[in-house]
Amino acid sequence: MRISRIVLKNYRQYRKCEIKFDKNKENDLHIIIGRGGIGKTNLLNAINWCLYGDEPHLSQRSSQLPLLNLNVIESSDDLQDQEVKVEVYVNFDDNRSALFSRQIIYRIYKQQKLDIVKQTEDFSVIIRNEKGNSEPYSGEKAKRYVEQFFPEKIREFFFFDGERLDSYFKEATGQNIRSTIFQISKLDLIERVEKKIDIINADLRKEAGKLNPKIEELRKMIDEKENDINELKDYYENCQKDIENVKIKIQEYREKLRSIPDVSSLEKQRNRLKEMEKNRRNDYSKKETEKYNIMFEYALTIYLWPVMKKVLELILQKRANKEIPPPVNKTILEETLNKKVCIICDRALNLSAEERIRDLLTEITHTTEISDKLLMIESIINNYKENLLDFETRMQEVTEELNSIKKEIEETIIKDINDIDNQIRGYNVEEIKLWYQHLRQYEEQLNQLNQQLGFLRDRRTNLENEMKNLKNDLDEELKKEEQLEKVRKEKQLCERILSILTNCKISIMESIRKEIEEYTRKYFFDLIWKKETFKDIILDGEYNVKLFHSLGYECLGSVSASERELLALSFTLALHNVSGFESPIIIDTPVARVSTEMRENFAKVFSEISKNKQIILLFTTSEFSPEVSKVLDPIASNRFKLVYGINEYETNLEEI
Amino acid sequence: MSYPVITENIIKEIRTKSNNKELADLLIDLLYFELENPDLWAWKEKYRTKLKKFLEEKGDLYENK
Repeated sequence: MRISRIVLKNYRQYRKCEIKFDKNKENDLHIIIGRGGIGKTNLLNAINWCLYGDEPHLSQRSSQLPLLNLNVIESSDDLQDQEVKVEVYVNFDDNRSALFSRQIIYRIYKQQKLDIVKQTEDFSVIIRNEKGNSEPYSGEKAKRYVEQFFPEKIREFFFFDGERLDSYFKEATGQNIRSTIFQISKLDLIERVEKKIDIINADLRKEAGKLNPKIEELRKMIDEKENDINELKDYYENCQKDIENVKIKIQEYREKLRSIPDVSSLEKQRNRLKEMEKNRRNDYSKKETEKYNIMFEYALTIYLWPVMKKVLELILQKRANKEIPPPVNKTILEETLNKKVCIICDRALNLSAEERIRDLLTEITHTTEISDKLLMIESIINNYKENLLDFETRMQEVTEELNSIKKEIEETIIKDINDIDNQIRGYNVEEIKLWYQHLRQYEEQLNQLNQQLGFLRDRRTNLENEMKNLKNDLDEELKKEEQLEKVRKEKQLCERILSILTNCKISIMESIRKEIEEYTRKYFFDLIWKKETFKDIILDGEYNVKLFHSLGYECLGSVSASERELLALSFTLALHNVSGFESPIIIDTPVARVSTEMRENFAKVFSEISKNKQIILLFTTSEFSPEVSKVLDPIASNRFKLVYGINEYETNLEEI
Repeated sequence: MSYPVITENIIKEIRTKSNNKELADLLIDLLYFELENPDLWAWKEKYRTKLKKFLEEKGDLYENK
C-alpha cells in the first residue's frame, strides 16, 4: 500500500497544492524540504485531518488560525461560501485503489465583523476494484475503510513526528504496544467473539438456574465472583497503568538527573565539612593558647638564660681551674693548728708555720663560702637548663600539633569544600533538590504500587480458584438434571470455545511478541552504524522494549537520540512486517533530534528502508544538511521544496 | 464490507487448538461473522442459532472427539 497523491485546497497555508508521489527509482523515497513555519507539519496534519478529522501535530501558532486559508478569507465577499478539501489517493499492490476525501464548506460573514461559519462537512471514500469499477462510501462505511487501511489507534506507527521519536518508547509503553499488536493482528476480533460467547454462557447459566434452584444459587455465586474478578481486573490494570506511568516519571527524572550531582547530599557533606572546619579551628585556637601559656611560663627563664649561661660557664671555668672546690682541706688545717703538730708529716709547728696556717684558714673559710654558693648556683642553673630542654620539647610538640591541624584544615577540609562548591556551581540547586525529591517520591510510589500489584495478583488467583470450584459444582449439578442436558451441552460448547479462543490469543500474542522481538533485533543490528556497542534487544512479557549494551546492562535510557530513533524505526518496521500491515511511513523532521555527525548514518537507514516501503520525509532546510543530501538526493524518487506564495499565508510546492 | 481478512496465523492457531475440524470450522465461521457484522444489534440471537445448529448437526461429531 502506498500514497500516490495528496491534493489540498484552501487547507491552512495550502491554497491549491497537489503532491504526486510517483515511484521513479528503486527506492520509494520522497523528500519535502521547507523552512520552519512554512507548513511541513501541516502536510502531516492534512493527511490526519482527511483520514480522521483531527490535526494531532498542530503548532500553537496554527491552532489559533482557522482551517480555511487566510488569503481566501481576505479575498472572499460577504456571505460567500468557501471550501476546504484534502484528498489522499492510495494504491494497493493488487491494482485496487482508494480515494479518501474530506471537505468542509465555510460561509464568510464580513458585514459587521469577520466571522467564518461551518456549513457542511463530508467525508467519503471511493474504492476502485481490480477491474476498475468504483464504488463510493460515506459515513460509517467510509470510516470503516479508514480503520481497515490506516487504523486510527495505531496511526503513530506510520505518521511520525520526528521531534517525538526520541521519546517514542516513553509513549509507546508495554500496554500501548500490546493493544497495537491486538489491533493489527486482528486479535481484537477474537476478543470480541470471546466476550459475546461469554455473555451467552452467562445467559445459559441463568437459564439453567431457573430450572434448578441450587443451580440458580450457584449461578448467583458465580456471577458475584465474576463481578469481583472483573472489579479486581480493573484495579489490576489501573495499577499496571500507574506502574507504567510512575516508571516513565522515574525514567524522566533519572534522565534529567543523569550527570547532575546529588546536590542535597553534597550540601549535607559540605555542612559536615564546615562543622569539622569550625571544630578544628577551635582546636587550633586552644593549642595556640597552650603554646602562649608555655611561652609565658618559661618567659623569665628564657629572658635570663644568657646571664645564667654565662654564670654557668664561669663556674665551669673555675672548676676547670680547680678554684672550686678549695684545694686545701679546712679540717686538716684546724686539727694541725690545735695539735700544733702537722697531722700529715707529724712535725711540730713553729710560729711562722702557725701563722701561715692561720692565714690559710682565713683564706680557705672565705673561698669555701663562695665555692658553696657557686655550687648551689650551678645546681639551680642546671635545673633551669633542664627546664629549658623540657620547654623545647613541649614547644616542639605543640608546634607540630598546630601545623598538623592547619594542614588538615587547609589541605583536606577546605579542599573538599572547594571541590563540592565546584561540583555544585552552575546548577540550579533548589530545582535539582526538587527533582531528587520527586524521583525519591516516585521510587517510593513504585515500590508501593508493586506491593499492591502483588497483593491484587494473589487475590485474583484466589478468586479464580474459587470461581473454578464453583463452576465445577455447577457442572456437577447440571449433570444431574436430565432436562438441563441441552443447556449443559450448549454451555459446555461455549466454554470449550472460550478456552480455545483464550489459548489461541495467548499463543498468537506470544508468537507475535517473539517475531516482533526477532525482527526488531534484525532491523536494528542490520541498520545500526555501531556494530559492537549493543548486544541484544528484548521485548519482555509486558511488551516493553529493552536494549542491552554489549557489557550486559540495559541502556535504552542512556543511548543517543539517533540510536533511540533507529530503535523506534526498527520496532515499527518489525511491527509492520509481523502484522503484514503494509502502510507507508511519513516522518516530519526525521533527523531533528539526531546529532549532525549521525545524520549521514540515518540517511543511509532511510535509504535501506525505502527499498521495500514507501517513505515520505519532511525535512527542515537546516536538517537537510549536505551529509543527508549526499545520501538521499541520488536515490529519492521525488524532491519537493515548500516556498512562500504571494505572502506568508500561502505556501506553494516546487519540484527540485 | 469488502475485504474482510482473518490472518492465516489466527486460522492456523484455531485449527491446532481446537483439535476438531467441525469445532474449528464453527469458530472460524463465528470470527468471519463478527468481522463482517461488527455492530449487529441482534448478534446474540445469531450466535445462539449458530451454536444450536452446530450441536444439532455436528454435536455428535464434536462430542465424540
